[in-house]
Amino acid sequence: MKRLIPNFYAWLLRLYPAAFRERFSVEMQYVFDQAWFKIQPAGWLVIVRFCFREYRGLLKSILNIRFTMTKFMVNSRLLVLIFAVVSMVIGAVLSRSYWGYMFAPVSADAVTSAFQEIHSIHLVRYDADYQASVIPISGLSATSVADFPPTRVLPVLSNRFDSSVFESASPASELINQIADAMREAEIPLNNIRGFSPQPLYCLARTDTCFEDVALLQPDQHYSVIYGYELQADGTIRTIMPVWNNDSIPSAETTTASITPNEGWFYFGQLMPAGFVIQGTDRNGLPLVLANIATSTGGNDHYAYHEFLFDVGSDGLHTRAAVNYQFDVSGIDGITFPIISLAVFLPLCFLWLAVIVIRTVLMSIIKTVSPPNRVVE
Amino acid sequence: MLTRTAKSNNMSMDDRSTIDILAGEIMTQFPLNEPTLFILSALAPGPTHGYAIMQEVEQLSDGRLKLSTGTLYTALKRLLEAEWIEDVTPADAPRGRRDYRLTPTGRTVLESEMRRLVALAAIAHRQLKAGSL
Repeated sequence: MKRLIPNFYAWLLRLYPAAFRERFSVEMQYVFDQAWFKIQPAGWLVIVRFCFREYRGLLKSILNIRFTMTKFMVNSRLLVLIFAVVSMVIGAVLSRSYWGYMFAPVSADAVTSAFQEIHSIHLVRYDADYQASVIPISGLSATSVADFPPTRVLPVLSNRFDSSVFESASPASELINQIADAMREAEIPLNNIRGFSPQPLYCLARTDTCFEDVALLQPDQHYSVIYGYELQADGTIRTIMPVWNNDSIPSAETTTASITPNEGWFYFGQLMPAGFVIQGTDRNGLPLVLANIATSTGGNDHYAYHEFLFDVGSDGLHTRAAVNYQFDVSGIDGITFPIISLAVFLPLCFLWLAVIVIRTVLMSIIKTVSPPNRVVE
Repeated sequence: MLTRTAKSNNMSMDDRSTIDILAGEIMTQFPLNEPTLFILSALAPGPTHGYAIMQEVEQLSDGRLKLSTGTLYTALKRLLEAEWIEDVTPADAPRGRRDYRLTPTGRTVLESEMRRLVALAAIAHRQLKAGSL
C-alpha cells in the first residue's frame, strides 16, 4: 500500500503530454513522494484526504494541460478555427447552390414594393414554350400556400387589391408573348411535372409519392390509384379514384375528391410549372407586371422559383427586379447554411476528439509496455 | 502571456523603463487567482523548490489553501512561460528537485497586485468607516 499510491501516481503522470511530462514529471514525483512520506505518521483520514486532493488535482491538471498547453492550444484552436471555416464554406456553397440563399429567401418586397395599385391577378400554367394559359381559380385567399412559393406575393400585396382582380380579363396575348420572351431569355428550365393526363397514378400509401408506371412499384407496396384529374370551372381540381373492396382490391366503382387552391398539392401536383401574372401600376401610374413561376429543376421534390418585376415599355418588358431561389416540398426546407455548417462542424469536432482519446489511450498503453526515459540531470 | 525582458535582479535603467512599461500590460493580468498570488508570495523571499512552495503556501494561507502537486505544477508551468519565475536549480541539486525564483517581472506583478489589493482594501475600509459613523 505504501508504494502503491506513489506508483499509481507515477503511472498517471504518463497521461500528461510528452513535453510537459519530460519537463515536470520527475519533479512532480519527487514532490509527491516527499508529501507522501511526510503524512505517513498521520491518521488514515488525513491520508485519504491527501490522496483525494492529489489525485483530483492531478486529473484536473492533466485535463488542463492537455487542453491549454501552448503547442496543443495553438493547434487545437487553429484546428477548431479551420473546422469552423471549412464548415461555413461548405455550408455556404451547398446552401447557395442547392437553395440559392444562405439563411432565407430574398423578401418578396423586392418585386412587390413598387406596386401602388393592382388591376389583375391570374394564375397561369406555362407550356414548354413558356406560353402562359390562365387557370381559373375561385375562392383563393390572399395567404401564402405551403409548397407553392408564387402565393407568397399575395399577402404582401393584399392591401392593394380586392377579390375582383381575380375575375378580371385574362392578360393580353401580346403580354403573354412578352413574358414568354423574357423567361426564355432568362433560360428558366421548364420541366413539366405532370399534367391533366388521363393516365392513372399509383400513389403509395401514407406518402405523397406517385408513379405513372405500375411496374415501378414493389410487389409488397400498398398503393392507391388515381385515375385522373379534372380542373373544374370553380377552380377546384377533381380527382377520380376507385373504391376499394374488402380485399383491398380496387373495384370498378369510382369516387371523387376535390382539391382547392389553398392546398399546395393543388399547384405542384397538377399545375406546375405555374405562377401568377399580376398587372398594376406604380406610384407614378406607370404599368408594372409581376410574373412568377414555380418549376422543376429535375431534382426529387426540389423545385426552382423565379420572380420578375417588369416595367412595360413600348418596345416590350424590361426587368426591374428579379428573385431566384429553390424550394423543397418534402420537409427539408430550411436545411440551409447554419444547419449544413453545424452538420459538418460538429462531426468534425467529434471525430477530432475521438482521435485525441484514442491517441491518448494508445500512448498510455504503449508507455505502460515501454516506460518512458526519465529526465537525467 | 507577459514576456519578461529583464533577466536579472541587477537591472539597468533601460530594464527599469521596460518594467515600468510592462506594468501597464501587467494590469491586464489582474486580478491574479489565489494560487498564483500565494505561489508568487512564497517565492518572494528568495529561490525555493516545489515542495517548499507547497508548504509555504499552506502556511501563508493558515492552512486554508493546500495545493496539490498537479495544481502547483500547472501554475508553475504557466508562470515559467510568462517568465514571472525562472528555474535556478543548482548543478548539485538532488535529482527531481528544482528551485525557482521570481523574475523582476514577477516581482513587479506581485507588487502591482499588492498595491491593487491594498487600494481595494482602503476603499472598502473607508466605506465601512463611513457607514459606521
